[in-house]
Amino acid sequence: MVIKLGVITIKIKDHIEKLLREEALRKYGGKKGSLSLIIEEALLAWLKGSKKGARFYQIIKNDKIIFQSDDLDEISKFLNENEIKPNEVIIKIKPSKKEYRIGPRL
Amino acid sequence: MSLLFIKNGYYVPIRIVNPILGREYPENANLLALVDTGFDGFLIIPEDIFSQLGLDILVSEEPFIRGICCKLRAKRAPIRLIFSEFDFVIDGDCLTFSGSREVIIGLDALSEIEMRIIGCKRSGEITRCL
Repeated sequence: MVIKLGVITIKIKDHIEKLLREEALRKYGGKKGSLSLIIEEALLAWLKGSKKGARFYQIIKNDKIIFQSDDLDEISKFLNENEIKPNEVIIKIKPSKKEYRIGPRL
Repeated sequence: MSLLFIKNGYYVPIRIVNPILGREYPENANLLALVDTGFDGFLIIPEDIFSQLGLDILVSEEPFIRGICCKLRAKRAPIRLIFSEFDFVIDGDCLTFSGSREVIIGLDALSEIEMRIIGCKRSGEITRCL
């Protein structure tokens, strides 16, 4: 069971690529996949600010992400097809949030 | 789809579904959720509805909810919201906490629909966001 990863080719200006590589090096120490991680984070942050939702769900088993989707039907289908009971895994909601606000701000 | 003004708030008819366990609340009906733009999450439901939907086994986070009086520990689980009157579905998440008594729909859910409040007429409407 593995996570599905899409591959896309994009063109960006040289100076933006330089910034991207610098940020990947600064944040992840240049480890493999760091550019993809930075781009994923940037896209999620952008989607969160736009009208489309950026919420998605991850199925985690033995500390590994075995599937992720933004559709709960797909999450359910994956569990059923692989005969996994919901209490055998952790279904994380991304992005996670530590604190919510309700009522007037003081 | 109309917003309903009842007493001191605007309410929207919804159904709440747990697609992972195939449970729905209420079954074959709607409940009224209070529209609260002061809540920056998706949905808050009372603990008994949370349990009826089987969400206790799907809790993966216990974030805080900070209100005017205090900061409470909540439980967070994945959920589907159905606006059956205009056949619209959003996958999101819901919170519950000890003492929670009302179904509250917050900014996170509202950011995916178009809502108009006509305050002077105590009415309003909700549609898909195009």
